[in-house]
Amino acid sequence: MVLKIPAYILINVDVGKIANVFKQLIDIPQTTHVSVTAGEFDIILRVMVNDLEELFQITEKIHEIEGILRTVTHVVEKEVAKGEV
Amino acid sequence: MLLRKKWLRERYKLLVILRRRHLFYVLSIFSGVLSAVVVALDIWISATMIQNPAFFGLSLFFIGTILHISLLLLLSIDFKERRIGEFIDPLFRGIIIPKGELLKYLFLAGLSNAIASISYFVIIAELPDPSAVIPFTNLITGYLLIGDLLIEKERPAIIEIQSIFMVVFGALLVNLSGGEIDLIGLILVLGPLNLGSFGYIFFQKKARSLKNGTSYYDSINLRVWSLIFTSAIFIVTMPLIVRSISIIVESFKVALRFYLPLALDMLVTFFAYVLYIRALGLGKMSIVNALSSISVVISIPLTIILSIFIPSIYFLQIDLVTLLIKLIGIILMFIGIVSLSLSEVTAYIFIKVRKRKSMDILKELLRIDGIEYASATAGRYDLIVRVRLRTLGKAYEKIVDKLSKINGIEDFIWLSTLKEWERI
Repeated sequence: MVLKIPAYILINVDVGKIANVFKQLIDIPQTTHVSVTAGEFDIILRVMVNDLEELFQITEKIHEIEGILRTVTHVVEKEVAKGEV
Repeated sequence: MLLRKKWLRERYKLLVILRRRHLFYVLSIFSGVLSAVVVALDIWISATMIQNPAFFGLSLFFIGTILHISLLLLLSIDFKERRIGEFIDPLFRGIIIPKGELLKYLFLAGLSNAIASISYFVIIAELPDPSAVIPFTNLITGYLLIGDLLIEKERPAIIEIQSIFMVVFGALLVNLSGGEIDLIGLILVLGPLNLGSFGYIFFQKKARSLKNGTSYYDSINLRVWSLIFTSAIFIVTMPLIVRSISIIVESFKVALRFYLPLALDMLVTFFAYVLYIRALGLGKMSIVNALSSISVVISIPLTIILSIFIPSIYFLQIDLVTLLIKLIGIILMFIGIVSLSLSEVTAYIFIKVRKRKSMDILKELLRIDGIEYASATAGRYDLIVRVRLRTLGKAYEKIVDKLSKINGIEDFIWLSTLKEWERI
């Protein structure tokens, strides 16, 4: 099945828990990118889902991970890429 | 069956890796590998079949033109609802007849290539030891560095200059022969030959940057049309240089006699250039050229392998000092290429938009160098942008300064990536 909707989940993590959270986020099948960042958010997660229900289930799952303080979800409505596209 | 599925999955995985992360490097380096094969084929043909450089050049262009046009037609055939050419360049949509700006750039690319080719054949034919000056063609990357500087109107990153110099001088060391350097030969290389090659790459890049509707022009059409122009100019000019009209008929006869090896030579050349032009669409000219100059390293093991089978044509005359110099050259090139491919930083920018269509801003964002993709989102921020840069030091002049000039952006935050994982 082709996954269709990209979404960003911006995550704040408790001090010292980033490595553990990072590992668990990679295990989520819908995850395509995990970036540890410096700034307002600690981790930027990019997922690909079929529908919003699936996205809801992922955010629920993420909230269960120990060390996650807060998440902000952004659903991508339109995307443009450079280069060969 | 299960094994085959696994193999297919692994293969698909590999393709995805290539597409997403390293496509630019793979295209440039593979183009260099093919160029090394072209050089080996050139040596074979000129040593055993067509000794006269003028005949060789003309017959190569005769067969090359026919082959390139045939390839363009062949690659335009539909296969599984796609054109065959799409497997080589995803932008390929069939034959294009160049007009306007595209025609101008392709003609100029063809003309520059013809100047370079004529200079090359003059050097080969007239100089007592052409192998002493030909290595200086590796300095072309330096010309391209200046070209990039003029196009992008900004200073290159220090790491780019360091790496490019390492690759250029490395390639020069690998290629240098012990022969005596002829001053006129050197002027011919540094003048028309290198400037011609520079023009070819510069105008191909210009052509590749033009838009055909919503996407860019494909590398297959760009290569075929520029070669047609090169051939036409070369075939018209060569008889004037050697002062003989009959050379055309004679070369055509030679071309028909040795059409198979000549076609093989031009077939590999076609793929080398198509990959090179695709890479030009993805990155700077100087970096594409630096990466593709790996061909001088590849040519060493290639010559060693070929010398086992055809020792009369392929041989490496290496004493200990030459070997050491070549080794230093290879190490320099290797360090340069690795540091180029590893020195990249990524970041995300989150943007809030004032009353203006996000789509218009998205389009403006994509024009900024370094922005990989931009997403309009439903959430606290209206746009999320992914950035890939050579160094973080470039972030201000390349991105931040330009962002602040886009009308409609209310506020933005920058998040540099410290560690990254990507599904492949």
